[in-house]
Amino acid sequence: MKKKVLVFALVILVAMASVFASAAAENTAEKAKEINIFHFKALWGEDWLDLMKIYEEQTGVHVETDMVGGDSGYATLLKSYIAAGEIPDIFMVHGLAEYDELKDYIEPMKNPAWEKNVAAFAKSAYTTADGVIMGMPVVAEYFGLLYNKDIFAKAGITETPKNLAELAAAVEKIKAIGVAPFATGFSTGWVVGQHMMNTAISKRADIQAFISGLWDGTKKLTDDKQVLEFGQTLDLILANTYANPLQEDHAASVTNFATGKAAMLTQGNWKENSIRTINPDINIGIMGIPVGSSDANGDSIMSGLPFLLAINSQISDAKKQACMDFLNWFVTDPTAQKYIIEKFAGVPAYSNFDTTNLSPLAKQCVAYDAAGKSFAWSFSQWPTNLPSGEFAVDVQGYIGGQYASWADCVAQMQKDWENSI
Amino acid sequence: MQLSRFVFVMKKLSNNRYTLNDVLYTVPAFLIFILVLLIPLITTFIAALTKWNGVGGSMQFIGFGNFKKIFDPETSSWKALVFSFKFTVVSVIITNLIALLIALVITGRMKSPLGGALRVVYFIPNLVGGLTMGFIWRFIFLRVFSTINLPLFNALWLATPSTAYWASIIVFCWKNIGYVMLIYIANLQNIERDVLESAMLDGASYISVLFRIKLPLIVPAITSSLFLIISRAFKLFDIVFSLTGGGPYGSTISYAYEIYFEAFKRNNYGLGSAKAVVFFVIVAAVSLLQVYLTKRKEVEL
Repeated sequence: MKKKVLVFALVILVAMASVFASAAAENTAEKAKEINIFHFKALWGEDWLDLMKIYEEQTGVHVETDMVGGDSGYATLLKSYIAAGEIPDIFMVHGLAEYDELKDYIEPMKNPAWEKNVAAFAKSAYTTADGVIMGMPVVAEYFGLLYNKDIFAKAGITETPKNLAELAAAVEKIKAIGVAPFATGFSTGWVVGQHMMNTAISKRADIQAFISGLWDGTKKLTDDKQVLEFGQTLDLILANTYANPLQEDHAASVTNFATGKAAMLTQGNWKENSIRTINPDINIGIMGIPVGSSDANGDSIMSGLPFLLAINSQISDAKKQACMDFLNWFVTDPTAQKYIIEKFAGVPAYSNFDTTNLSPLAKQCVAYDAAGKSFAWSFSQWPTNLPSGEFAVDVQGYIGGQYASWADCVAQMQKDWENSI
Repeated sequence: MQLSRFVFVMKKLSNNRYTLNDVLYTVPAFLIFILVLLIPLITTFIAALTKWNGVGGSMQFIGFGNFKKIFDPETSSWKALVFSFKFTVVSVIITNLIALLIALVITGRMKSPLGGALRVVYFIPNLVGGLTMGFIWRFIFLRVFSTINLPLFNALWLATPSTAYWASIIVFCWKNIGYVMLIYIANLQNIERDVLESAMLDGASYISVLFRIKLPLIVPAITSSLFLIISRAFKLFDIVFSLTGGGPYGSTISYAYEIYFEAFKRNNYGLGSAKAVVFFVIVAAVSLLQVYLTKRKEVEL
């Protein structure tokens, strides 16, 4: 009998201890001395951590960071964190389609302080159809063909190609001086499925109509001349690569481009830092990828907001406020702004940044925007599994010779789109 | 006093009459079993009957619709199942054959200190985590092999479906051979020396000693190694995750990887759970078969 009492007493003690433990945890949350953030900009690396230390010194709030690289399946990881109940306080969302999936966990922002400074081009990207502000933009990014200006000069190319025929001519000139024209990184899913396919799909004035047509079935990829002609561009690239495209991942492609083994790289301006780490003196520029031979906008690049920073709706109000304070600080504090421009080599999505110290490549991107030679990307409005999932597999299958023609591959992509909605 | 208490408990146990006090002792283990095994299993079974995106929104009950999709030969899950079966068969044979060969060599002629060193060397790969190993081998296949200008090495290891398949098999076998080898060594060393010596005195050749004495005596080790590798190979996840990422174009997606893909990447938590249920049934069947066979096949002198 005594033993029974003892056992029950122990059980109750353990139960109470756990209750007290969780109560204690909530107490610290009340003060919000620590917030955590999960993002996919691993390439900000040490610089980001330094900036977080500066924030802690200024405000006493510790920001615990968990960061992964772009090819590590960020969206998948985020979903598994949510499934496990360990939702980060601040996390990145790619855009509208992802918001629809995660809206139970995203706190709508009401009259955020940063909003008055947002640059005009970014305004439409963070508000949903019903007027909810789902996240805070930070930088704009640009995708196209990065090229090595010195190799171009050596090959005698004085003007950057404006269409596919000129690109093909440039390729011949580069081959003539014994340099491989392209580094691709096509074995990395997001390079092909997300950004290359985005170039094929989004380079049009009526992109919103096209996307909603794809969603409601009135438009089809298989009927679209531009997407079908993109095969010509792919074929030109694939025939002139430095390494086997399915063996070369995005990191290897950056190395091959930075070390001058290839003259052009299908990448975005966010790789500038990685390139300069390998070769600080490289002289690079960005140009458009022509979509097929009849692309009238061959020299336009793709641009967009790669991510928005969203706040978890399941945390205490004090913590939400701490997150909001941090986000405002991140885009208004002079030190943070300096980090964004100089260390992250980003193009700010705000008008109140001092842009004199933008990197040369970033300045060129801004010039494309100013000249109206950029198209907004749309992959954040596709079904979220497609960009680095099915589309990547399909295009890689085309590269590997699985399809008889590009049209067959597009047919498969259309099927995948229909299966995903 | 203590002894009488012990006798009392034993008597009660043999009478199969448990008091509340006895049952209480099993509560902690039972609670853990319920929390980490039973509840997840049941929720998986329930989720398998629904359509749900896994994060928000509502669950929609759709009965056995998910299971119909799994066994459609057109789908990716069928492809993954076929890959896993092919992978399992080949890697089980290769791993066990090589491990047995090494074990025979080490226990045979090389009972020198070298044998001990070799044992350690062969076992080390098993201590490296699967993910890490995948990344290391990815580096070897992509960056190291390409610098060696010989026919087999400069193949495009991770760029075509067939080479990527063999690359995964190489890495898997490399990891598991050491472990299986240890099982074989332990069993080979347990064979009584008298038996081997008398066979030798009778003039038995090495081959007949091997096939008539050694192999029959280590049948329990063979069965358990076979099934160990069958279940490990079928549950393959971490190596393909980091080595090939399922590529090129989805040709090396194992069944376990496919479950993860379906539930978290394609946002079909229900369909993913249904796949997990099928996976559970297959693995459970293999394990039960193993228990049954190991119990039956043991040979003693």
